[in-house]
Amino acid sequence: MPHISRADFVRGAAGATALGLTAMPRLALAADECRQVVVTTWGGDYDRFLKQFVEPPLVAKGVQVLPDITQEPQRMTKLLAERSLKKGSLDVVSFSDASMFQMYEDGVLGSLDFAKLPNAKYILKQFANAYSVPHIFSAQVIVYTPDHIKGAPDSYAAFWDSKYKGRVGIQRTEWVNWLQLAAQVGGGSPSNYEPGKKLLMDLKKNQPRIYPTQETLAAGIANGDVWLTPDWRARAYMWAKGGLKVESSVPKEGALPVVYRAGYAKNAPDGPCCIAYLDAMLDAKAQVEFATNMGYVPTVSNAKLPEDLERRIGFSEEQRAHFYPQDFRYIAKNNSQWLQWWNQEFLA
Amino acid sequence: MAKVQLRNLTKRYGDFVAVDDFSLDVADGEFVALLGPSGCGKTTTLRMIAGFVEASTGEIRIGERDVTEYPPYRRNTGMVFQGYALFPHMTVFENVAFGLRMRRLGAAETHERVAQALKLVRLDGHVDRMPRQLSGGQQQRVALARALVVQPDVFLLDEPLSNLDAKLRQEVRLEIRQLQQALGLTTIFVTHDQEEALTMADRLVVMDRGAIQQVGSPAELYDRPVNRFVADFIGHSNFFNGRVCGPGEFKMDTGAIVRFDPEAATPQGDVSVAVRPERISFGHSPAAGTINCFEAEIEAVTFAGPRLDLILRCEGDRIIAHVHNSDGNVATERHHVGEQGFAMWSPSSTRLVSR
Amino acid sequence: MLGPATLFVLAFLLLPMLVVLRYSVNRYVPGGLMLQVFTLENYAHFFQDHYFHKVLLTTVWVSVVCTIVSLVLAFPLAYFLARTRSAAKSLLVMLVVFPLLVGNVVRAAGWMALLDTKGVVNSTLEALHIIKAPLNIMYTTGAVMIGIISIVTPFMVLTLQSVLEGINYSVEEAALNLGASPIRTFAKVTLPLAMPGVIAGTSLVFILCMNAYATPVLLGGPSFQMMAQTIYDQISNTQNWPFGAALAFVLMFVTVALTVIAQMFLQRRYKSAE
Ligand SMILES: Nc1ncnc2c1ncn2[C@@H]1O[C@H](COP(=O)(O)OP(=O)(O)OP(=O)(O)O)[C@@H](O)[C@H]1O
Ligand SMILES: [Mg+2]
Repeated sequence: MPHISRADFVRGAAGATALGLTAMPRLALAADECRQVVVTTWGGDYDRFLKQFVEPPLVAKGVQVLPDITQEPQRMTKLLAERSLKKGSLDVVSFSDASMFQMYEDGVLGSLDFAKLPNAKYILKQFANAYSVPHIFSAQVIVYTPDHIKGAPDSYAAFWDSKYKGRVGIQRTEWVNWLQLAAQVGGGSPSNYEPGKKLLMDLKKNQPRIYPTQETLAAGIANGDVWLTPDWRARAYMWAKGGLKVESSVPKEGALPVVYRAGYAKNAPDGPCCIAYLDAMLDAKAQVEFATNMGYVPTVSNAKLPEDLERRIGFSEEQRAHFYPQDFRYIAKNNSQWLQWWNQEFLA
Repeated sequence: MAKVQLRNLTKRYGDFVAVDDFSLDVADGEFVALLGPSGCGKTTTLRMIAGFVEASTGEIRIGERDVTEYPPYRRNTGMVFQGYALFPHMTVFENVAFGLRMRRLGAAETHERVAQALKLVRLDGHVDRMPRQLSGGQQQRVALARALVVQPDVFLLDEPLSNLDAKLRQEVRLEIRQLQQALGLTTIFVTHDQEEALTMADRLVVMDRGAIQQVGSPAELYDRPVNRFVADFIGHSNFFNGRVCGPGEFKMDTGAIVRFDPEAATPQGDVSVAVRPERISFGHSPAAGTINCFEAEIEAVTFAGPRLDLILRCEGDRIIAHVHNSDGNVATERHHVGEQGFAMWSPSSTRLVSR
Repeated sequence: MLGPATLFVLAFLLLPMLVVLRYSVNRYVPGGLMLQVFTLENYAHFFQDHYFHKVLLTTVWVSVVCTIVSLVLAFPLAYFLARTRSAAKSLLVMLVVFPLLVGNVVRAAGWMALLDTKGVVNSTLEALHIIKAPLNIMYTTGAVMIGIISIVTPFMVLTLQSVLEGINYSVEEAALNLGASPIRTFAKVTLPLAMPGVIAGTSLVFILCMNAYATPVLLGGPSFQMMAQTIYDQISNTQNWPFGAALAFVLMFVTVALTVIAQMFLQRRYKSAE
């Protein structure tokens, strides 16, 4: 959920140089006792809903939850910077799928004993991995304005349709997603997005409108400049909730999932607390609340959404099975090169 | 140089009248001082002539030109500012040359005239100094040279001496007067220092609350003030209230009669009697032939160098008499507080002034 | 002796800079941690890739234009504020500072409402039949400049004002009295005396412009890039700290160099008064 501002940038840079100076002294505790947990995560709604829906049972048991609100890059940097410490300053760490994988590869995450998480048995197998719990998910769909587009577009190919010349919205920071969906359309594979480049160059003929941020893109949709754009279904839901007249459809090429995850730092000061917190995140009631309030779908099988909500934000079992897989290692390796291509070729 | 004519100049700031119906003719080569207490409108008048303040009504003529509507840079006046206003980023030479360069004079002539002007103010050795490297008196002279070098039609000075110490002030005062006379400069000089005005000017204009009170030579103003303000502002005067009760006779509020010269002009309306302190003598018995002679008692004695100041209680008023310290005895021993006697002055020293 | 203030500056200004300098000679490993080595390859990357030259050039020329325009806009305003004896003066100063109290993002939203194809400016012009089709003002270099100028001009005004306040007004009157027209008075007296303020103001504003981030991102067109944004992309979106750090140093070096050169030029051009 990137939302950039100068302040964030400054904070990010400062955080990177703080080099773990924020570690605080703690009391030695009995092994199974949980007193205090530091949760590093996104600010805004996500943090607010954690406080509202996940933490109350823990707080009732006397656990003190200390939030550490950061942007992903600085969170990663902090975790890496503290890697050599015996005891770091962070317990629970939240990341999106790709970043979590990178942290795992960098060896800074603790391994999870799922037997200790009562809710772990409900985790949808599709999202399970050894180093983190999936908290919420959504997937990339085609968001469109029903006022201009009759009948839901069922393929990403719609973006290349000359009917929608000048009406496709692109967020400037989403080069990975665009390469990915172009690769899906144009004969690439999860480990080869390169064919997507040619398609994207073709897309320029359709004169897509390019926006710097989500908010400006939403403004473009609101004033009728943009009729369709790829985005998370959760966002389409939030936009609709906010009064924007948009609907969404799942592309037949397979939607691209995004999973927001949580794990814990290998050198977390408070292991038992991490387990308790991660389990609380999987609680079915909390999951339904996140779905209702943020539009992200539960990752556990025992959370049942109301039918209407399920229809608007959910994905059928079949659609889930058809999700487009991601090769995070491939993405991380090529990201820098893609950014260069995006800036120098596509946007030029 | 040129004559200057001011006709019914008025300056209003909202409802406030800073200068009120000011009319004055300054002859070619004349030195006129504007004198008055702080806030009476002297600077405003001068700035209207220079063009920095727009007159609300009235007319300004310099030479044969009606300059009322002219911007300052087309009036050809030479102003010396109170704080000198030298250009701090220019040398002495550049400061003095500024006006000539604005008039697009050739380099050779500029050099010659700047050198001449600096010589005139005895600063020829300092051409390359910056203003901040000069003493107050030297800066003052640069300001004079800068204003004079452009050969202005009228020379305007706004309290040019107020930043100098007392001794330097005497010197520069003399220098300005000599320059003015040597070059025949039409000069309007603003000051609130009456001694400065009396010693330098051909003619004085006494102002109060924006309006001219009296115009005249120093002697005229001193000996024949037309009103109580002028009588008190130029030198000091003792005043008695009352009314004229016959030719040459004035009845004080106490009932006593003061005699004055019946030939002298008598102002209209309410009047007072004004007597200069140095015209009053104090003695133990009425001197023979003295006409104005009143009982008085010494309330205080002040030693003032060449003279003694006696504070007298006389006809219910407190008055001052100056007694000359001419016989060399320790003066204060001649008079003492509580001493009874008479205050005396002649009818010719008794002036009627309007209140 | 080092005072506490000096130590503070050292700790909070120099130290992070040293860290960034160190990063800039590390090696980037795609998808992994950077390697702690000593290499100049990140700087070489900058010098070899024409694209980044273009970004730097854009940054410089946008900054120069914005600095000059803001100087031209700010001077009369600062002059008025310095000279006015009006009771409303502090209110006016408040008004000048007011844009700074609004966050960058909110301000950009404001510009959008004004400059968008359906924004206030276009609707007004269309309603007045001055234009037929909406003008594309948003997402152009012009929009970026308008946005940046609106942010930096208050700084320029305040810097100039404080210097202009110190200039004795009678000096200008003396020039007028000596026959200089208002224009020549400005050129020969006011401007040279205001030079310290002009130098301080343009330096400050130029540095602000060179580092502008949110405004170019939000108001610039898709292919429009200034350095701060490029650096952010490198660090935040591809985790390429070494290259981002190298770009940051290039930006800093160019900014300081240009500021110093401009100062020397202006100082020589106008011997400034004490
Ligand atoms: N711009 C202005 N606005 C309003 N009132 C003003 C202005 N300039 C001058 N005045 C008022 O006009 C009156 C005359 O001012 P002026 O400066 O002419 O006095 P001055 O005789 O030179 O006094 P000083 O001896 O103190 O210099 C003063 O009461 C002053 O407050
Ligand atoms: Mg004055």
